[in-house]
Amino acid sequence: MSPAPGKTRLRHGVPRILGALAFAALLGGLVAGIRDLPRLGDPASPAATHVSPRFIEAAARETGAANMVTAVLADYRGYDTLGETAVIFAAGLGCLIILALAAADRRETPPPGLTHRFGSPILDVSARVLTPWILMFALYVLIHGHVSPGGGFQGGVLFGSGLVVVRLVRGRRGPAFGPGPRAALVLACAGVLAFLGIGFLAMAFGGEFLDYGTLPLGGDEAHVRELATLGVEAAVFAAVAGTVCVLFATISAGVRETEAARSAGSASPPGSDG
Amino acid sequence: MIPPPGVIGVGLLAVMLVAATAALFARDLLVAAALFGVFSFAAATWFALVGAVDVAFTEACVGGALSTILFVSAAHRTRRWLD
Amino acid sequence: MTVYLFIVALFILGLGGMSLLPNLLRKLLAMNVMQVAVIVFFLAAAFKDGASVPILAESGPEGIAAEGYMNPLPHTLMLTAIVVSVSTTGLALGILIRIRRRFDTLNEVSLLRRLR
Repeated sequence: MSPAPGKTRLRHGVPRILGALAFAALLGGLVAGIRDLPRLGDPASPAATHVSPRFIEAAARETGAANMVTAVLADYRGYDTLGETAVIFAAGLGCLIILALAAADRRETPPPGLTHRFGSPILDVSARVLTPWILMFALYVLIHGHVSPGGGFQGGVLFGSGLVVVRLVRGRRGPAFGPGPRAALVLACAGVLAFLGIGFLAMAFGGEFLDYGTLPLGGDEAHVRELATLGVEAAVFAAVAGTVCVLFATISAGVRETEAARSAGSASPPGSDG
Repeated sequence: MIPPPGVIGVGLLAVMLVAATAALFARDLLVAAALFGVFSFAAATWFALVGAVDVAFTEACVGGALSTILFVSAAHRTRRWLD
Repeated sequence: MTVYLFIVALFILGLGGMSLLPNLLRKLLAMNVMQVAVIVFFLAAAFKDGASVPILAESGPEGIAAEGYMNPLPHTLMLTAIVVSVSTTGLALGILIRIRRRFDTLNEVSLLRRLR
């Protein structure tokens, strides 16, 4: 399990044995607790009879979204989704702090053996062909989230992945594609602020926080809620897509230093970077 | 109507369990990342099997693609070895 | 019932790996396994016999029977949980790479020895 077995074990064996015993006890407790759970697929289980029938029966009428998951996500439980979006943004913010620390710490040298071979023609052409479709599909997933599986979260992840694919294939050479970490975090921040803004806008027009029915968008209430839901999903999209870019930039942050070192130290023989 | 997951569901859960165990005890982080991708895709298929299409979509995007990309990038940065 | 047994196995594998494995990267992988176990549990609770996916099939909104559709609430909760989990995983990986570069190890015991 390890190249140096002596270093990886805990120095005293007792805590590990105690831990294993505790987990055995937990395992026994959980298996015993299975008896009290409802059968898989039981239509009379508590989860299926208490809150969800109201959502299922009223979602399309009240929010205009055929996809009930989207209706619950953006409308009924908008507060929850706002919190989750803020958590995602906070993760991106933490990543930017790590990036700033890594940039400030000049004593660190990149680990040896970190070399890349970017620019394989097959990968390059594949990325060129695929990326526009990935980005367009992400937007489709966002806009079509009302009537099919999808929405802001999935679309945002797809859009961020589409931008990351280019970075992954082309590295830092060539023209930069997509936003840098700072710009991406600004995008994520704009998403969270737009979500909050829609919530407060609903308050300004006499409703409650994140209760979109009062927004003056024209049409009946279900139509208004449908448009507001789309706005919320777009805000989530921006937050998630920006954060994905920041995450990848943080994890691949050392690559630029290595390439700079390689281009500076031309004394190394050609072909040694493979 | 979605039929109960049945034998296929149990098979997928077994694949998940085996892949997760192998990923946790793999020596090479690259292997662990690949096994984690297997785990995530099996999970996404199981989610689709029980009718959670939105969750399956998300898990396939996030767990199968993005998490695996992140772990592979990290494997590059940590010299791959899970010492 | 077999579903619940698998969920318990995955959960214990994840939680146990998180606490007992010495390598921080393995701990992170184990955390993800535990998260998926919880997600599977919620989706098992959302499953209903004879129900369809929670997307409205007929055009008219009149006469929607709750028995005909899966419970959308756990689906929503787990959807957001997955995206949050990838964000936290990415942040943790960033921190782990920093630790690895500063201390040249990701082993918990070695790290504690270095910090002492």
